[in-house]
Amino acid sequence: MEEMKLPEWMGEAKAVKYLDGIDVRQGFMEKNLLTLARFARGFVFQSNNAAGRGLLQSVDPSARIVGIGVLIVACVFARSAGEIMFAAAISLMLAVFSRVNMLMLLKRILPAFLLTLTVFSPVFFGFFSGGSELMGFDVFSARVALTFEGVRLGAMLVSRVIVITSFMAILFLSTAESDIFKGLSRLPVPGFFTTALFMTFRYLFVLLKIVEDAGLSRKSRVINPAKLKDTQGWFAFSVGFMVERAFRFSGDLTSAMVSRGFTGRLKVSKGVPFAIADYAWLGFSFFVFFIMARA
Amino acid sequence: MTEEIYSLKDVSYGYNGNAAALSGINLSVRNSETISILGANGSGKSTLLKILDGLVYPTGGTVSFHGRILMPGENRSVFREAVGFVFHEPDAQLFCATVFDEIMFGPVQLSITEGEAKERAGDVMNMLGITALRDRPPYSLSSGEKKKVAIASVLSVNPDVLLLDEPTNGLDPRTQVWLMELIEGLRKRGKTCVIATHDLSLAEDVSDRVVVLGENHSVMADAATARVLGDKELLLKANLIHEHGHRHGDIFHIHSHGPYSTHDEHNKG
Amino acid sequence: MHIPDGYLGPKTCAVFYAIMAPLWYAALKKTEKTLEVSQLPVLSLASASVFVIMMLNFPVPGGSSGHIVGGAMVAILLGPWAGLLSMTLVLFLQALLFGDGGITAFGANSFNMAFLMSFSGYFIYAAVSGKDGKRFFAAAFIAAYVSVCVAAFATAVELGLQPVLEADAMGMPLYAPYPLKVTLIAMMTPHVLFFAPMEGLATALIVAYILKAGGRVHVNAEGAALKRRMLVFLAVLVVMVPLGLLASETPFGEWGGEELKNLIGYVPRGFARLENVWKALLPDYGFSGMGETFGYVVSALIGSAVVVSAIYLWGRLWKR
Repeated sequence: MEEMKLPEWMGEAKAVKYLDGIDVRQGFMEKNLLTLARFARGFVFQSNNAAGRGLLQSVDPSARIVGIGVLIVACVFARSAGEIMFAAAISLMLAVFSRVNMLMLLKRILPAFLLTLTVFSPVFFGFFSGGSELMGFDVFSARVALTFEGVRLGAMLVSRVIVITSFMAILFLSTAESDIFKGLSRLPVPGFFTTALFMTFRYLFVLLKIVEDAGLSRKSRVINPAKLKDTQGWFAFSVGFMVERAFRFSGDLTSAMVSRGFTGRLKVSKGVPFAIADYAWLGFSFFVFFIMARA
Repeated sequence: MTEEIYSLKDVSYGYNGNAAALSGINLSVRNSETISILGANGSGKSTLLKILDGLVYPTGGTVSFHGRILMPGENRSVFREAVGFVFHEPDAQLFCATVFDEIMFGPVQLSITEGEAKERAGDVMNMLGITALRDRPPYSLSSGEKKKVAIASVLSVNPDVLLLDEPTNGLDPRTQVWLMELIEGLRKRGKTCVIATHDLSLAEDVSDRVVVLGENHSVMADAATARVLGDKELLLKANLIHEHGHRHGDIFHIHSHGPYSTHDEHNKG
Repeated sequence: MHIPDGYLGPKTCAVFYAIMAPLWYAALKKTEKTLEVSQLPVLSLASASVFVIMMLNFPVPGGSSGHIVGGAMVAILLGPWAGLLSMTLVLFLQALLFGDGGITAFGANSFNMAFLMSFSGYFIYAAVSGKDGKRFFAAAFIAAYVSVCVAAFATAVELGLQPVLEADAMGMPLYAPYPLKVTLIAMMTPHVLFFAPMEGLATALIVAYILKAGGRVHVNAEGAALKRRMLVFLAVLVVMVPLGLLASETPFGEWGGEELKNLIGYVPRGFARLENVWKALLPDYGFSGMGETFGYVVSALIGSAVVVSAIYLWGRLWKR
């Protein structure tokens, strides 16, 4: 048996300075990808009370989705403080009766709240909305004041967005991931769309894994994380690499589907017909919608 | 004389005019046989299986199933129901929301009645011991569990022919044994199995016949299991086993790894 | 660029859904033809890739980073219709799972990012990349750059028109409250200066890599037919954009509500008619003798009963 000849330079023992003392700053690519992977995996459906016995949980997922959608549309029609409070009350009731974790709900609403508040902040003030002053001060020669009209308008705009966000959050906190997709696929959306939707979601994780693996292997080679062009090139590489793998993968996936009888038009199993509870729920959400949609 | 299910005549396959993945393959598969297709990586085993499943079509030669030549562009659900393919990579094969949906996918696409499909799904899950995984999303499973789900989703269609691509690859030892027992069980039920693998012990355990694909992408041997696996020269040439040397003190050994590995040569060196 | 719920009023939301519906339908049909029928997984994977890419941070000078949208990139690789579908999928997932963009605003967001970005990106790439696609880097950069600007512009217009289209009786805005001149500046400035070049660069790099790795872009040099279609598309854009400018003769940026109201006056009137139809469909409010509120409530009850019955019946019909 022949011995393999290794090149000379591999035999040199280096005076290796391990980077123990130095904080190896993770290039943001790795940080990005890893947090992204963890985030995507865990965030969306975690702390979800899909198994609880609550109001929403006893409704068929398809009906649940339709109902929440209708409620959201109803909210968009809300144009007065009264209507928004009505919607908020419904949202609260839903959350309570579906045993939704209030803390989680708040956590989801908070980002939307802060963002919307920031975007709409000028509205609260006199220079935008006019109206009778509540309190204010002078900045040089300009008057900066909160006005009654301003606060009212601002509050309405912000709370409408919040209530809508809360409905979405409640849906997610009370429904298992697989049910969301199953629920969607049983609705009269083109089968192509819902299957593609699910597969997109599903392969998201596969791709993240590919990227994760690629990202991790990079740590063992030394690349200066501060070199911009390097990381930009790396970005393009990892994206291209991922897309390429994805396309190859998709060939296998297509084969797998065809092998089990897929002919291009996806067939979906019928599922259980709606029960009284489902109709009641739908009736309720449409009722709310008709109330609000006086336009 | 059992019926001939597959008949491959002078089949070759090349990618876009590049080097051929398969060259001049002649093969016959009979009913209820279990055949192992052995070959090193790149010899064309997977491609051969894909041709058997009508997923790709040969660029030369013909492949017939029950006497009918498989032609591209045809859509025969009868064929799809008769032949099942368990892919090498479970991730490519599992795409439904839950394990149960995955197992139901095949029957639903083939328009099997819902009641019967559900019954089969239940039976298959029982058989493979994965009933507890029913409502889990497939991507959250361990690789062994994924493999079982992949197999289940093929079995629920109840094919007569099973094509398995590197089935023991990546499985822990216990699961490997389980898989061999499963294949045995399927054999007893009269299923025809074609297994692509480079795992010689699997081939030895389950196959009636072994077909060896060489690195030249054509058939190097096609005979009963014992004969093929006993032919060390053949296995070496096909890169299915290797020889290496190591030292025991003063003695330098050459031996080969394979099902009949013995320290059968000694060289003083 | 994703517009959340509550920023666009119901009329606007409805209009954009109505615009997108035929576009989605056409995209489904066309994609079935150009992409092989069983290329559904390819599409999904492309969407998944785009999704991930959109979430990745692209490094920019100064140590910070931004996101790319990906509309032009997908269109260059898969074609405009498939790009439209793919982006729609991505947007839907983003709205559903990350609350990025609203559900009611989904029609508008799709119009901006799935339709406008894909098509403008595709045509510009086709035009600039030349025969044999030699100038792919520049073409991808410019295509992505312009597509972002186009989408940002559309977003700005949609938001900026809200105070006019959806105001209450006293003229107070009910939805996105900033007028056009504010939204245009607020949207266009960061996009033209920052996000668009970033997207251009990222898209160009990705396309370059894919081409180098042996992949292909979808753009086919159809020659005359392509140029013609592209010109039509550009013409439409060109007309839409300065429509107001030419018509109203007010200096750009100083459009008041009045000018706009006159300009698009016919739109709200059309909606008003729609509203009457809508009201007519709803059970009559003619519960004389009872309070108006009670009438509303009862009508709503009847309305929802009708809808529920319809769903039930439809479900039964499906069984057969």
